[in-house]
Amino acid sequence: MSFFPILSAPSCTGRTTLFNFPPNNFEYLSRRPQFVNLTWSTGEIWQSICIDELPYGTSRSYTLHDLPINIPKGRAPFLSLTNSLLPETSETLPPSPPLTQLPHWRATLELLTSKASTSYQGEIDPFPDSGSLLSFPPLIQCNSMINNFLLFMNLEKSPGIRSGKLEIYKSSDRSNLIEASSVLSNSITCISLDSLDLRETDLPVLISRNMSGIPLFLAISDTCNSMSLEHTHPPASYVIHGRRWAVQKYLKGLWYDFSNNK
Amino acid sequence: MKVLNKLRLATWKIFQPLVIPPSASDSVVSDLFVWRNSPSFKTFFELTSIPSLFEVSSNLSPYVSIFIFNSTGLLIAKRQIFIESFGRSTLDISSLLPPFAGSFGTFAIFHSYTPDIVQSLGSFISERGYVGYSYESSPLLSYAHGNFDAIAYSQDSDVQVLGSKSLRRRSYFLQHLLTLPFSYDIVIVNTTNSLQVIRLDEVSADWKIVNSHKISLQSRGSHIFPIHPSHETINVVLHSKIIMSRPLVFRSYNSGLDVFHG
Repeated sequence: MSFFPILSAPSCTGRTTLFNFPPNNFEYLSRRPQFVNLTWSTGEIWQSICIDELPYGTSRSYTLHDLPINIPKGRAPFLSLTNSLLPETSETLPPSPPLTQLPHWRATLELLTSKASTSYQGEIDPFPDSGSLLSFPPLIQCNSMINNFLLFMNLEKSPGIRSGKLEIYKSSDRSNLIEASSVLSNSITCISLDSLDLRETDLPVLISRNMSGIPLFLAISDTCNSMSLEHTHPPASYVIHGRRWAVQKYLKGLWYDFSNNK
Repeated sequence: MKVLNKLRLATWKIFQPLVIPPSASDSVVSDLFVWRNSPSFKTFFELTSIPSLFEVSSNLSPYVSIFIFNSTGLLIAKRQIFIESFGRSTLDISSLLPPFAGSFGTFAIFHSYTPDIVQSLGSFISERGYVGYSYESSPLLSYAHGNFDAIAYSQDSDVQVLGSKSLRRRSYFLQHLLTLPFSYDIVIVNTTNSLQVIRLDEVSADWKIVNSHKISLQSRGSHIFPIHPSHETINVVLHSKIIMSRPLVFRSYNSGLDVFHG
């Protein structure tokens, strides 16, 4: 169920490169062209159009300027690859079947300035509406020559644009909320992190009790010559084997209780 | 047809787990992170205490054991570093390297203990954190997260690599297009317990092999394939018996660096 967003951030252009060939030689054997779909939420329904057809073995890049329509401001464009056309409108996110598992089929998600670019290999699958988030990101770069942003990326099956609350604490001082921001579903919400007064020895805690998402951390030098983009893992990745999701549930419960801003 | 496909897939999956469980129940696990050390590159790791996140009121002083391996997989340094329970410390890996360590290799970060709750749920603490690379005169670090539960350590049984081998040779198609004017370093790590033969093919847009490189890599060994695209676009295909030969990719141009996992 993977989609590939076109990212957006201040002073940057988002570019997403899709690949119609699998990452391995055994899970996906079709050699057919695939449709490239653009899907976005109007707030009430999902709209999808086919914007391209990608022959097998090829790849192609898309920016907002390459799209045949203007996506409403604030709405994230999600691309997908399918063997059949998606419905033009739907009340739930159209299925985009998993193509491979080991590893997942990915796209290059990139942000560019005129002087530099940064990317990661990624995809996004819909989160449950009841989801939440806990993250400990050591990725903020404390340097007056660097601008730091959090790009909070969410996708849900429901097309509604709902508002969630993202709380930021220092892990060493869990009772003091240092930032509370609104984040939107089915969107990429950009939050500047430079005013949080975090030192390089501070480990921040991100908590959202009512929305899941992928937290992406973007750093751009003030000359725009250098950039870095990386996401953090969910807490389940702190462990291997056993009941990983129970471990994650425990950790979320612990930290949600400690932070007092409920 | 579906049954045949399931049987076909079974030959790629049965008895071929991504990683094997650590043999000792008190093991802690880490990725084999790539370090680079040269006039152009320095390597940093964002140290945080994962066990402390599970035991917020614990009085234990957490520390990590850092194992550094050279490019042939030989252990060349071992350090213990105490860390703040709820802080972040940016560790300069380059400063821990012994003389003649070479210009690249891997390192592992093992936490000092496993919280009771994690053990009771049958899980192992795993460090898959964030490596920052400084490049040339760039003021910022380019981050890449850990990707794999590669190696385990227990006080009794020492280190154990966890990556398993495929029964058949696999091909890994990097879903990232190599383009001019960038230079690329594709880094592969042998996470299995035996010598592996790895072939990297540089492939043109019409899937003709334009360059091919074959290496043998010891267990825990790492190798850099430098690629300077001679064609407008290059695809990369890795062939080996490593279950997940997902490489780390360094993409550089002038003083700009982009690092990501394939």
